[in-house]
Amino acid sequence: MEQAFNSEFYAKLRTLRMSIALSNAAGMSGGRKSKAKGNSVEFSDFREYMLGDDIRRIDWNAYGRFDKLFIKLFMEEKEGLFHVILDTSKSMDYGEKNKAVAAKRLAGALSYIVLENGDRLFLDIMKDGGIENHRGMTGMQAFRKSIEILERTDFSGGGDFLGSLKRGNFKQHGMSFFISDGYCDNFEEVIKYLRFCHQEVVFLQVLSPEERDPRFEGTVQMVDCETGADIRMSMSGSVLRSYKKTYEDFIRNIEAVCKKHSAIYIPISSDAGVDSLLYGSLAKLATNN
Amino acid sequence: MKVLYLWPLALLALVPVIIFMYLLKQKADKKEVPSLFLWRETYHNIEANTPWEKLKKNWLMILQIILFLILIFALMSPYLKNLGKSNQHVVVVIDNSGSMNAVYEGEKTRLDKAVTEATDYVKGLRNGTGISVIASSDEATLVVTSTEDKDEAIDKIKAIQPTLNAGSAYAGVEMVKTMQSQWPAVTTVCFTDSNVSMDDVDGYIVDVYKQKENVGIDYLSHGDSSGKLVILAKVTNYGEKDTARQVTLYGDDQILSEQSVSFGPNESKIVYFDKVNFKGNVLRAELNGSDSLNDDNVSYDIVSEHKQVKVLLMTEKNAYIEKALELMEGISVTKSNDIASFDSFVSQDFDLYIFDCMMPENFPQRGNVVIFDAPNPNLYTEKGSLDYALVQAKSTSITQYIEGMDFGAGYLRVFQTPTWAESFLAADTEDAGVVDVGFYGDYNGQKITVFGFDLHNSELPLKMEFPLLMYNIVNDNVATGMLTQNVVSIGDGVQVNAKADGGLPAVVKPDKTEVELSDYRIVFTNTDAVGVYAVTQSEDRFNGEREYFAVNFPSQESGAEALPSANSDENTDVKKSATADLDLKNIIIAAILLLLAVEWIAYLRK
Repeated sequence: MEQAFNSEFYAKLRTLRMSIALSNAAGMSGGRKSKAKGNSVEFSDFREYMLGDDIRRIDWNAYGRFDKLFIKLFMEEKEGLFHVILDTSKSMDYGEKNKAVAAKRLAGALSYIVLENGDRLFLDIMKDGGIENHRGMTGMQAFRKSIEILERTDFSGGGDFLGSLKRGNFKQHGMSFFISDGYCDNFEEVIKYLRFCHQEVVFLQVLSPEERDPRFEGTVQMVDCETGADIRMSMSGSVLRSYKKTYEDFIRNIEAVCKKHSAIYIPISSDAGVDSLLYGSLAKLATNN
Repeated sequence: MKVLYLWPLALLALVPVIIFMYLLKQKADKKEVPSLFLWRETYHNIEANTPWEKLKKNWLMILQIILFLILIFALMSPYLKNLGKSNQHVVVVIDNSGSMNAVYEGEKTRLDKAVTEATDYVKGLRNGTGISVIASSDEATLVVTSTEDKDEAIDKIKAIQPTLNAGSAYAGVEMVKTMQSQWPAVTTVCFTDSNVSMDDVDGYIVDVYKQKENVGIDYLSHGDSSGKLVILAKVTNYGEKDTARQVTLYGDDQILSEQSVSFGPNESKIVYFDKVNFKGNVLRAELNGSDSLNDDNVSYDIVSEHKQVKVLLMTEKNAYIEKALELMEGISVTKSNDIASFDSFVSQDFDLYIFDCMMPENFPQRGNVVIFDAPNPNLYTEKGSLDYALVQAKSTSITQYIEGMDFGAGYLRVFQTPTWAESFLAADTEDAGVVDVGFYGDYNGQKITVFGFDLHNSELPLKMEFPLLMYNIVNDNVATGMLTQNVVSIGDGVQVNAKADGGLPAVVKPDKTEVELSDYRIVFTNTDAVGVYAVTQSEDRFNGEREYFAVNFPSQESGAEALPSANSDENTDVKKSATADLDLKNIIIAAILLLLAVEWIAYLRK
């Protein structure tokens, strides 16, 4: 398998500066503006003084001008909570340009962006219906640790996304980057659950060209790499056409579910280069602010 | 519909084997996929959309099983009964007469072509068809009868040998007519180069004639002139192109003379060799070079030393007969016009009496007689007379070489041909049809030839054939020695009259084989090769006295007067190739095997 975090990856990463929009940060005080009014130095608004307000915040200049007591409101700056949820089922270990490599790079790049923005990063490694929670990481020093976690992650076993997520730690409002191929019957339940846990969801679907356009001929016994189940089919033009249609319906369904639940959908092809991954796919996350 | 065999049904047991083999054959490639999530969906979709998809998946196997079932059906040799013609019996008639030795193409003769066509035809017949094979030339030979073994029939067809006989497929067709009642649904296929009527016979002709260049010597004849020979050869170009050939005359294998002759298409010429000094026995004329039929490029004639024959010619003024007789060797002619004194001549024991327009009171009791235009109620009856008629020579022994010759004649006597005689001249009349105006025969040991008209009132003496007719008649009447004829055609019989006081006669054939005859007076029929035959009676056959006769290729086989393609008979179908009932079995089997091979290749490539 190709090395996920190679020198090219790091070289490109250093040039990556990206701010990710998160509407309602809920973490500890940090560098991210919160919707809550708080104690930061950044002015937000005025309002009339009410009993119990901190008299230190009264704007005396305004009092002098209007003969009324006004309170200065300041933005409260908090750190964003970002979950990078990585599907490490066996199905992700597929393709000549391996899906797992692309997934790891995505997770790595997102970790970098999150940490670099001063936000808190949670790496959630989904495995066999369980989840490997890592403590929230902040600061660029933690980037190294996140890479280490990702590097030692292997892709094996099955994938029960909902089961895994229910074991996860999504208590506070935040953003979840869900990196997976999306092969599950209850994808909508998964997204719904994340939304239920106050997560803004970005679903990064990693698929290989072989899945998009399979090149099978003759009679093929297809074995599911996760479950070992098999199915035997004679590949004809009509069968492959039917598969294509099924594939497109599958993608359309994912898109529709994401849209329905206000999740961002980003399709990723495993054969995309590092450039394309970082500047093409993730650019959709970037905000102007 | 019926089938010939049921045993192929046993092969149905192999159908499960095909299915089993197919299952074995269907070894699928094992491929790992990330998830069956989409494939399962696809599988259901296909099943839902096309209920036949499951079957379609195995269309190769289904195709194979269908092909196998068709194969079994083909092996059962199905045929439709009572629908069209079903050949339960076929008769193959192969013409192996002399003309079939002509070249058809390259080295192949017409007979070779006929054998090839017939062999292909028999191969294509449905199994179980009864096959009879007839070889036909001057007579028909049933080579094989009612065999269902195609190989046997083919072997017999291939074994048919060429002959040099005159003839055609006619004899074979006649044989079919007599035998066809014993065969149900018989089809006759006649492989020939000449026309033959297939009236009353269900079948057709396969034409193996092909126009090629051929020049042949029709006959060779000779006469005596002042102790020297006058020899004539009739040579005909049977081809469609101008040609020139050289005729070489041999006497006892020594070259006597040579002449070059040019011909137009289908032109005949008489080649004269005048004053030839030859004292031997065998004359042979030969054409140089070769052509499509070489058997007719040579012709033989025999110069025999018969004893002096005495002929009494009773005539008023007939120079024609006298001149014709002068051409013949060994004849002394006494001429008289005084019929009243005929009795005085009788005592001189003439070998031949010729009465020209007169009849003596006392008919000679010995010697042979030729009568021109005279009544003799004791010998024959006249039915009436004709003022004028076109007379035609029939095919008899005394009209050899001049069959079909015709001439006009006036004031003819119409005869009731006696039972002892055979008609050789006939006139076609409007009222009475064909009537006899000339006959000949043997009456109480006397040979009597009668013409029903005066030569002066006919064109006969002006015809080129007249001397030949006279020669034939005199020869027929005054035969001496052991042989009555010196020149015959292949297949003709030769009367051998040996003296009973010697040993049994023997014939030495051209290939030097010796055939001892079983009787002193016998017709020798084994004339199957062109050449000179020697007849001897002495105990010491090689030193004793010999007489010769020549056997020539029948000239009617050289030409192509009646081609199959010229057949105007509505009932006779002429084809260029024989078509057996299409043997679908073999075609089906071939197609199936081809399809299986293609399918197999397609599978391997996949």
